[in-house]
Amino acid sequence: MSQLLEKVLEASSEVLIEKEYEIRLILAAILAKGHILIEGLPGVAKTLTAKVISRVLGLSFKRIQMTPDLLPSDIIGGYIYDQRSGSFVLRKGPIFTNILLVDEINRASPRTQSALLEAMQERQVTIEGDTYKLEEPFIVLATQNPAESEGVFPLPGSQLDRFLVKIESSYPSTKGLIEIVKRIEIIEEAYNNLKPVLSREEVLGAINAASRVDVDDSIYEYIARIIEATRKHRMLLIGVSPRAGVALARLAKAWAYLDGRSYVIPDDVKAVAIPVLRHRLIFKPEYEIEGVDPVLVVKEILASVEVPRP
Amino acid sequence: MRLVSLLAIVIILALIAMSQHVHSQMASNTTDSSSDISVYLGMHTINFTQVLATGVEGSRGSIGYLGANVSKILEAIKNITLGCDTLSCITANRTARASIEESLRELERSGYIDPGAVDEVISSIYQASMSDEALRRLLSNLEISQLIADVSAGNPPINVLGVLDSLFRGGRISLSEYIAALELLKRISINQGLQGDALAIDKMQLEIIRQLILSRTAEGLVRGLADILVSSNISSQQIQTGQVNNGGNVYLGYQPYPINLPLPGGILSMDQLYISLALLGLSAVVAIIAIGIPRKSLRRISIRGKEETQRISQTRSTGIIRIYWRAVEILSARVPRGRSETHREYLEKVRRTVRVPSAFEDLTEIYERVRYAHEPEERYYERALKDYRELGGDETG
Repeated sequence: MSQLLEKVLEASSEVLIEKEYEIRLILAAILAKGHILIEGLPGVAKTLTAKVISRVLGLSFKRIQMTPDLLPSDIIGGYIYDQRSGSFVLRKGPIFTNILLVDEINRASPRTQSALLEAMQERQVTIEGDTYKLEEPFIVLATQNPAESEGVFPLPGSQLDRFLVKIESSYPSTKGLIEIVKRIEIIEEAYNNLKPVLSREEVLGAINAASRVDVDDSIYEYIARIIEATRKHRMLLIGVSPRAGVALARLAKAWAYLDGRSYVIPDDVKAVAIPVLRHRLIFKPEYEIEGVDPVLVVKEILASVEVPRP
Repeated sequence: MRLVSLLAIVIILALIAMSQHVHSQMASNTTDSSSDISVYLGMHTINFTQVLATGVEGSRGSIGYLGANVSKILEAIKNITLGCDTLSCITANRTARASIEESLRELERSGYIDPGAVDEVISSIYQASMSDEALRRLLSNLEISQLIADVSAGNPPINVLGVLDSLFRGGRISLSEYIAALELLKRISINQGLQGDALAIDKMQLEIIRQLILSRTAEGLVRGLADILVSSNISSQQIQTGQVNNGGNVYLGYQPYPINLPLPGGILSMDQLYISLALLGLSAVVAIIAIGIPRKSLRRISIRGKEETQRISQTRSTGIIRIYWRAVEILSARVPRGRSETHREYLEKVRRTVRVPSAFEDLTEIYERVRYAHEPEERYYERALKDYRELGGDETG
């Protein structure tokens, strides 16, 4: 395990119970410069996880609660008239931050969603014709509640593709639940006392180092075989895009880095395949209605694809 | 064809003769020919003498700017090591450190070295006085951290120098990281009583720093020459004649062997420079025509070279990989291996099913390092063979 991961896990362990895997995945996604979608029922510490991560990483953090009447300008900002100076001045929106928590992204209107997702992709925003680059790292941590069905605008497949990973935040185990209930005051105090264990520069250094992790050609071929297998799977209408392949390679590198290695092994690809692919699979209608679990499909694909041989 | 070849040979001989003539003049006019400069990195060969020789009076953008600074730059280059041949010597000597800093700042002010390079060199020099922990923090490259850990575990420090060197040459680590890693290796060597290794590393540290400074300075000077060559206000009268100097070639690329570069004592005329360049170009064209290598052949040679490199690379790593897969075949009789199982997954499966010998665990680790981390096979070959034998493997196949 890398020192960076150790530090972050140690710092967050007092506040987040049974969230090690999620923390590692979020951290890997940040190192891979990718955006994260966290899906989970209310009260499973989705927001707390995002806040803890941004605090321990020493990054700036802002939060937007999505509602159907939210406008793109509420996110990216705009020019407002200043009566004192008699001119228009720029008011930057909450998007100008390192980590942006977008709560309940599926509650925003498609127009606002697409404005946000465009900024996520381009890492810059255009206000009244002027382009502003967003400070690195710029990571969107969006949450959505799978149980909501009224007053929501589900993200279309093409927009889901822009999230590097989708994390399913689940309920804690009974033991974990008891610990949370028993220690809630201590947890709250620990959160209030949480100090950054890294600086923004160190995070940027780690992003740079993770991008230099060595990937053997056979690993790229392995990734390509996985991607192609999604296109042949009997339950899937459309296979995943090349962007998914890029995401898989980038996250595998970050995963290897967090494991303290400077090279990727097939296990890294397997470890990140589910969070990278699960939200990108488009099922045939009959399987969609049946409610097939995408995780099982990804596992099936991984079990059918041969790992690199000599 | 023979006639053309003959012509090419004649031109080359003429050039050699001209060079000898210049050299003899240099011998009588050079004021300081004792300074040797080692410069590295690359493929390009540029006549350093001609760059330095353009030092005459004037303003920036012309020969003169270079000339006004040339003596200072040369002085700065001379002061780079100030009699020290190890980094420890430099760090222990306050005067030497101050002199190096002053020299580097002079080069920086003159515009012949990148300020970033100056800062990196200065910070690298000070690494010798940093704690082990601080040095480790500088190593963002995991491969280096692993190498250092290997050395701490008993691998002789001298074995990893080649890997470090290739990482630096490949641009995968910075000078600071390289020097920090060497510093750690030096300290481990001292702790292990390997004084000879420690001294060699100490010398190596300074040599790397020195070569970096010189290469960057050379690039700056070459840029200066380029400015001059494009400048339209150069007249031959501006150039002092009768003072000729000579020197070696500066390689703008990694070149671990020193090249003698005597400092200029006089000035080479621009006319001579143009004539030399023209003759050189002409002779190159004639030589290519004479040899008559068609483009297709050149491409074929290039492709063949690439294939050969790949083949060698594959051959180098197939030994251990083959040993590993043979070991898997042996174990598969008891624990079948699925085609989608990774080497680590298979090891886990074997661990769960049978009492796995530590030899297979070790062999799996070696396989991973050679197969995916591309570590040199030689480092592990004997160990892998031993593991294979322990698993009941037969070497004859």
